[in-house]
Amino acid sequence: MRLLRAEVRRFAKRRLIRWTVGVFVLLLGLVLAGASYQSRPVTAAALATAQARAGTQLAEARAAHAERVAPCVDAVRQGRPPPPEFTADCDAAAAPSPDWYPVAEFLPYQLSFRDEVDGYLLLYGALLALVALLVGASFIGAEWSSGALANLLVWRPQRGRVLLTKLVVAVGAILALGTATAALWLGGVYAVARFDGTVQGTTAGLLQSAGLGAVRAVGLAALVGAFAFALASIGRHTAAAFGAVIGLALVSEVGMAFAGSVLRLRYPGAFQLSTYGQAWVTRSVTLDPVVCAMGATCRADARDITWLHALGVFGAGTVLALLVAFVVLRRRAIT
Amino acid sequence: MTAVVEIDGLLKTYRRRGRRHRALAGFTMTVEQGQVHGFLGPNGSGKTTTLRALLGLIQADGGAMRMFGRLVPGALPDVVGRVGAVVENPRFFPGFTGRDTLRLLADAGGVPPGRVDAKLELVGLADRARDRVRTYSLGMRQRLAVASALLKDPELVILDEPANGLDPAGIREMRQLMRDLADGGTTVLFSSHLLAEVQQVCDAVTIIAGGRRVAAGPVEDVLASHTEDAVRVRLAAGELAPAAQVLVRAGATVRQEGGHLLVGNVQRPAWVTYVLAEHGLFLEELVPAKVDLESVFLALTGAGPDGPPARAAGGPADRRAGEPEPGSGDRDGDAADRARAEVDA
Repeated sequence: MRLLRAEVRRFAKRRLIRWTVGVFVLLLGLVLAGASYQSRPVTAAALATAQARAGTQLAEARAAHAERVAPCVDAVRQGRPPPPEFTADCDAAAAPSPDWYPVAEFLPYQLSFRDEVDGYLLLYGALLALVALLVGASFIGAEWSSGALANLLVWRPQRGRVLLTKLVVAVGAILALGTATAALWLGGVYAVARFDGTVQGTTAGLLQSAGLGAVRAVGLAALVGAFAFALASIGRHTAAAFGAVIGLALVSEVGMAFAGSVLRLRYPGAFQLSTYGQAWVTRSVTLDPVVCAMGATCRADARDITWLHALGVFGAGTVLALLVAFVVLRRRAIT
Repeated sequence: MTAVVEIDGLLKTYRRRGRRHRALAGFTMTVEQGQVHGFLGPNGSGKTTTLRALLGLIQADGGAMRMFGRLVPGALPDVVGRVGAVVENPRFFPGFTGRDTLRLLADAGGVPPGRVDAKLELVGLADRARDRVRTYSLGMRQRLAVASALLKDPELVILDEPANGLDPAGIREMRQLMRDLADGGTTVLFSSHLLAEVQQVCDAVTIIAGGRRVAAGPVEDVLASHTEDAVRVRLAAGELAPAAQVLVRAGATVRQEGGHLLVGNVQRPAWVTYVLAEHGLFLEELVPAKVDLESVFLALTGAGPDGPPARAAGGPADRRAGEPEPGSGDRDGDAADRARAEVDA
């Protein structure tokens, strides 16, 4: 417990972590403030204004069209052939119609909770994952590179326990931060929609789905944090984790795409981490075989990647990285 | 006396890029309770490797180590509360203040936080306790490291080059601190290159070269066992070389040091006077040669404190001060023999 308490204090005292969390919360606040500033509820007056502007634009477009085709109409009326730049019916098909100017386009932006909550969750999840990457990697990486960890191990010569305690503190902090900010974020988006947009169509099922999406986002951040922690511990530097993650992304996205085309893989997307990331957030991704890419319909051969598959891949990768980190630390000469 | 640290036959070989480097070749050391024990050796001789192995930071390949009678590193978690240590350069997280650094260590080690300020005061860092470690000079970081080692009020303090980065006043304070600790019953084991400091403050020393112990024991005994039957002889400048030839022919060992000769294997100083006078050479000065720790160190390791070790591991016969000497000579194996650089005119 003493070690845990000391590590919690150490975590809370780290300036980079404080700044990262501060910037993260500030960014979330700015996005919500921006949404609140831009979103306006549709009032009867706003609807009337939009309808009037749509009507005006349609009338102007029709007048411009009539003026453009006037030489053609005159020629046809006088029994002459239409000028070559016009069709036989003088571009009648190009005449503006009300469909071209839907009233919705003339309405101010209105945040719809039902339509946009998934997008807001995706943004939140991406930002939280970045924070987790930085926090998880720097908490142990900076300790290694500064030599502070070696100093601590002289005080507490229990390598496994020290590393495990730091991991628990880092992941616990990410979960705590995620839980708190996810609730605030969903509440904030709902509040903006409620007062500056619309919550029409928001059902209990939608709210439950959004809540589960937030839980998955926080869970993914915890896995990312633990993975980054393991990489930074293995590489003994924060930058080692960033380098490894960038390398992994390149291999997964560029390397596997190339390998997929060379090896004629049926589902190259199944080997790319982005597929699993998308499946994690959207619950499921359907992969069509490559032969269907040219437009052929072959849904019978489609393969679904679900968030459970994603959990398996990300979970296994994180557990493997952590195992390596613990084994390496056990055998490593502390310098 | 009770042994606080016992190291027996310690082995460590580093493997880097397919090459093997034997850092410790059966090193042995005993530190008695209440001693200030100096640990000396040239760079690369195995001092820091020994201390690291003792503190569980690296794994030894063989041998046995005990602290307070318990086998380490296995029992290290049980005895570490009685040990305060700083190995190599003091390294702390640069973004924390000195006080935060110590408080976090105190938290981790279950030390009352109230002790932090007292230790900062003790090492002269009270005024800078609120400053970040990144603003500290090397000497201040060294003081902070010593404060961290003393935080537990340990029974054994292990300090690796504690005088590094300290100014002369700081070195003096450090010397006094170590002496005070020992007077209070704390055992102090420290490595150093400052041999004069070691000689002033230590009760006992262990000298390591090439991964082996080459001398050990109370400082006086180590000095006494390496004291040659030697005298310093001064003559007129032009007479040094002829005098050296005469003395060597008469059976003495002679080394020219500056403007005088160091004449060894001399039972009675009057014999030198007699031999030289017989050849018409007359002394200007004749004094008994004194041996200090530095000359013993140089003789045993064949190197200056910062130079490479003179011998490969497995070389010298290791001997504790006071133990019977091999053969009829009064030296520790071949390294000491090299110290008799004879002037053969």
